[in-house]
Amino acid sequence: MQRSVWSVLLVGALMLGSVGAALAHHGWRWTTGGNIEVTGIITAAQLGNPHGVLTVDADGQVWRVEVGQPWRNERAGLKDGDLKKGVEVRIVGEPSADIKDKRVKAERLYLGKKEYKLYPERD
Amino acid sequence: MTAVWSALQTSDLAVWINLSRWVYAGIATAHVLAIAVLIGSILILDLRLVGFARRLDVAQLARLVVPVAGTALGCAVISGGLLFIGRAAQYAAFDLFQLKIAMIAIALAMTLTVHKRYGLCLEKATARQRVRIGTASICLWCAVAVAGRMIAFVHG
Repeated sequence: MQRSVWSVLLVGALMLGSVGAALAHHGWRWTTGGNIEVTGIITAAQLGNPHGVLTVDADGQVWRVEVGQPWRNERAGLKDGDLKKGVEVRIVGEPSADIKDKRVKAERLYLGKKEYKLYPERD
Repeated sequence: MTAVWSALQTSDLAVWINLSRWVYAGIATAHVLAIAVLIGSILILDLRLVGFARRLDVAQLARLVVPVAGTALGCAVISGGLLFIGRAAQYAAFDLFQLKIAMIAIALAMTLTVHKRYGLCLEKATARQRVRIGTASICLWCAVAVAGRMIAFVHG
């Protein structure tokens, strides 16, 4: 009996432990720490909670661009319909540390010459 | 099915939740709280079934724990449903989400089946059966929580 008790606790601990080992996309832990620039045409925009995601075609290379939640995009000055299919956008942000993963988290973005700072406290 | 998902996520309620800051944050928080109470209360009963604290009377314990767990389950389903409708089609397509829902269904089916067979406090089950049931219950509910949490980190 005592052995089964311990095996239950062990299984539970292993399950909880696996949480810490997983890759995260929330926060900045998964990014490189340095900025890159991606310029391309938005081919799909999914905005809203828990956060917005743009698919951007940069000369044939498809990037997944994580933008803000609605309140962050709005605070940066973005209006409804600014980020939509067909719009050209320049993104400055941190890419995924996994180079094969074409994913970047935007710190700021540009529509034409106009700058929108999603994370004003970051450079 | 895709028609149902798209109808859900374009509903006024879903759009409102999807665009709000604090409503969404509040629902997500309620979901976490409900899960904490649900799994916490289930764990207490399961540990007793498995063999801890044998001096505690199972029937007495169940009288408090089962209604708490049931209420928490209701809250988790409602808050989870509200989080789901914002991006219904996307979540429904995630394999981890499907796994999570399947495991919830299995856990609930198991709970109903064992109570039907062994009584409300599992009084007709042998000690060994109780250990098995308690172990399966802890493992399943923990796996549900892990699968749910991992959705944000694997798919996103």
